Amino acid sequence: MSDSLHRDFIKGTVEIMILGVLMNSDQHGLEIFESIANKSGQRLRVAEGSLYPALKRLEAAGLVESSWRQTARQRRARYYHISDAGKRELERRTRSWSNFAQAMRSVLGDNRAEESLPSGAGHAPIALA
Amino acid sequence: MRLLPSLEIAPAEIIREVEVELESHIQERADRLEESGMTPREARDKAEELFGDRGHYLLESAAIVLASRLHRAHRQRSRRLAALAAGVTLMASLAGTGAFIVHQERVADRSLAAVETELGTYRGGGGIPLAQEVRFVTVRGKVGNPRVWTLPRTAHVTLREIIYKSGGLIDGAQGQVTLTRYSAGRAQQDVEFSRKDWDSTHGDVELSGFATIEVH
Repeated sequence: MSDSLHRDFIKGTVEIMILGVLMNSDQHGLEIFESIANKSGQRLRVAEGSLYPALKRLEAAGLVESSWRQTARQRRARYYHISDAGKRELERRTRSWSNFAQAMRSVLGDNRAEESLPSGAGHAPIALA
Repeated sequence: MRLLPSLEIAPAEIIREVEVELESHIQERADRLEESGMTPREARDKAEELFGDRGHYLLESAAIVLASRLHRAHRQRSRRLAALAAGVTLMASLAGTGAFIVHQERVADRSLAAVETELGTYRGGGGIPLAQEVRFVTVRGKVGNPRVWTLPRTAHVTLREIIYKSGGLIDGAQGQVTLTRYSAGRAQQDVEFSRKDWDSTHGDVELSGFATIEVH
């Protein structure tokens, strides 16, 4: 995979994860980071700062909206909210992602490569950015 | 009443806005680390480390916001100009000045097309290029086609070229140029050039991520 293709792939992955966690509630950047980490069982590692370009891309595309609010610690933070267009986009990307995963499984013959790895290696964190 | 929305976008304000958001994230993380037993200094250092390259994310995020606002402002301006021109053309053509209005509309179209071209790469699915790879140079004031240039970092650009490519001086312009560079949300330098300077020496424009050239 070329560097630019790999970078685009990562960008798309981070964006779909952000939309996914915002389906549950409005969150600020740090909460989004923690939601992704927790939901992935700490297996997907995103550099905290890398969320922001992704959030700005989503906002520029009208997929999320944002506003300043108080956090539980009485600090001001920008909270993100998924828009209706964002919900539709998430549905579309989820479908597309499932098709891609299914196609990969078919091509790879559903080999469970993980089983041949040393114990625990299959759960090593994947750094996304 | 302002008929056409201004195209002026303040890069420094956008950077500041994003900077405040990133700082809020780091501070919130530091608070949590401090509650887990770290000293304030350790917590702050760790929070910075976990965040990653702050300058990189700041510039990349600000570039996205800037491109998005420019695009939106241009679209709004173009729509209003089209509506205005449609109405005025009818009256003006009766008075024999329709050609002037049509000319104005074409100029606006060309300006929009230029920004569309610049921003096209951002919407092409590849995302925004890293801010470090480009420079945003706003040319405004008394030139024929005030605009924002997106220049590759490696491009060799002179003041003279950028002013001429922005439509050159309009009637009544003195040719005095004020160059302001922005870094971390602050105007770093304010350099004055007379027309003689930039026209005869081809003074190179040494710019970081954002800069504004105001032509008087």
